[in-house]
Amino acid sequence: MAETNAPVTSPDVLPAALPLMFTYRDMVMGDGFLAEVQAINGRALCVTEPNGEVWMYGVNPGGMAASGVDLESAHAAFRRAFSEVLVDFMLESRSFAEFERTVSAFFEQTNAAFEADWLRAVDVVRAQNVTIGLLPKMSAEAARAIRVASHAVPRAIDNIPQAQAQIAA
Amino acid sequence: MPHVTSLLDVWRMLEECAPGHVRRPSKHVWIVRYDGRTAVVPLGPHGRRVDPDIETGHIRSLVRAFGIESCARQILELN
Repeated sequence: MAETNAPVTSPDVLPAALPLMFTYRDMVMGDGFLAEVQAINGRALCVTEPNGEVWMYGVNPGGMAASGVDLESAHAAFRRAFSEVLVDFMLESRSFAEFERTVSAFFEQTNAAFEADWLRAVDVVRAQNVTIGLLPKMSAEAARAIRVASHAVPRAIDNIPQAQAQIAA
Repeated sequence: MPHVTSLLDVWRMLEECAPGHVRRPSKHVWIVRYDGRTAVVPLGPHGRRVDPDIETGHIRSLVRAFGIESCARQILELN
């Protein structure tokens, strides 16, 4: 008899929709200041499209997406795109306060349609105990936050970017 | 082969489905704003060409972000 709730381990084959959470840290240079952006427990849905493309659709932030040939490259593209969007927001901001408002609003903006898909995908992860290689899991209910801080001087630790992704479960 | 959409077709769709939207090119992306929401679309290969092809997944994200998917699907092939 098959073991109930045995993990569905798919190191090479992704589920059609995989709910992800991510935490990123970026340093963005402004005019006369450094902005540290910590995106905590953002949400994205990794979808394998019928043509084989792997897409990461932002849920929070809900206004961006990126693609790759597999989960790793799609996430790398999404991570890179997020950093680039921060730079573009800084280029249009006339002050730190404006940058903070723009970034916070962008991150908190939920893509409701993809959120519905994300929540359904969480149900599948839970029901089928989906695992993907060594990708860790995170509670889908973990609190989300965006922190934007201004720094007058750079620090050595600012050289170290942060990018973590987990399966929402 | 990725599914792509002409950026000009995307703009035409937004004129109809997101009237009053504002868009501006930045260093890496087009920043598009509508109804208090923001979405970004890549500039396209080789930067800011006039009518590049954009991978359709970006457009799926944009129309869902703006809540205009049903209107957009009447104008563009988004699958």
